[in-house]
Amino acid sequence: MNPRQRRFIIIYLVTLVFLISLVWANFACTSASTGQNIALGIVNLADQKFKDTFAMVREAEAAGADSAQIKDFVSRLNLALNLTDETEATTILDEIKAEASQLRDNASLRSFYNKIFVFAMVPVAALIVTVIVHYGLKWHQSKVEQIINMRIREKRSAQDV
Amino acid sequence: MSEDKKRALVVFVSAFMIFAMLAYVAVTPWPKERFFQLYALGETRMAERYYPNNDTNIPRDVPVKWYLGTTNFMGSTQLAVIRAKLGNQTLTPPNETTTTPAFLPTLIEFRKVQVNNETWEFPFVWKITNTSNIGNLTYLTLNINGIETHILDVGAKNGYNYRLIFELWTLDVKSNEIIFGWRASNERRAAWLQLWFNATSIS
Repeated sequence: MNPRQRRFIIIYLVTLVFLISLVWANFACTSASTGQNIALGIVNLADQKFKDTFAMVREAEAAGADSAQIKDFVSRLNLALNLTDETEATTILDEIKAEASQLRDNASLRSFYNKIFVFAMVPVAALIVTVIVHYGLKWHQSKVEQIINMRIREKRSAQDV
Repeated sequence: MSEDKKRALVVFVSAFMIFAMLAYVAVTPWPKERFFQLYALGETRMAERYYPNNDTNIPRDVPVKWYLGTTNFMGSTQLAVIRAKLGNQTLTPPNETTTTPAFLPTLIEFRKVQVNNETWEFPFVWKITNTSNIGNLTYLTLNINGIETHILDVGAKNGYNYRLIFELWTLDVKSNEIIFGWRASNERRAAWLQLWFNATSIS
């Protein structure tokens, strides 16, 4: 391996580590809410179930779930809040919690892949800009050289332009 | 290294740094001010005509119609709880600075889960259905949205200077408790309203 190749590999690895650290820092920030409900107060079961479901919906929202799905959860949460039949309300809350949990996981994964994609595009975009600038400058340089290399000639006839 | 390669390397590094910064900004949520709005409107759904004939002295069995509303600007789904309380001139009202609610019994409670930027507005119709006097203190029985409540804890001297207090409570996901006001970042904020009235013409 010649020194130039070694240098290229080192630059590539440093870049890769930098991008991965950026993605990880961002992902950790988004998914921080997942571990927030550790210390729970002692409340009656129906209220606690509602709070747990609400927290799950919030986590799905924070993970980047679609707003239409969040609106659907919210309307069902409001329905459960207004129901007088506790069994029916509990069933609705259980359904929302299960769906929101799944949605949170999917949204979280999708957000992670989106971030990976965005950061992976950084060196590609930088390379495209470099190539454009490089060849643009070369073209400009060739035009300048063309002008510099021009010679003054005497005009001999009308056809000799 | 040739002059061309040096220049290409400089361009690549510069473009890389700019694009990395743009990518970071694009995927990082921008911090915004997070707050709730709480308001009360008169019977015309405007900030006027809060009392029948614009007279703060409310006669018995005359309905008073207000509209209460909240708007969620918290950047996320929130549970909003509005608690209505009856106070008089001397009882301590809620305190925004210390985020302390009024230590008065809740007459009625309204709850709704709101998505971000959603406004929730509902009618608050009340009337005085009965009064009782103990000494010079007047005690009220109110009918709020069809629910009758006899309030024994709060009396007013000769029926003057009652106030209906509306407090906004939210479900704090961090503590898993319903709290007065809301938590924005690590700060606690609160919003409450009060509307004064007299019950002198019926005592």
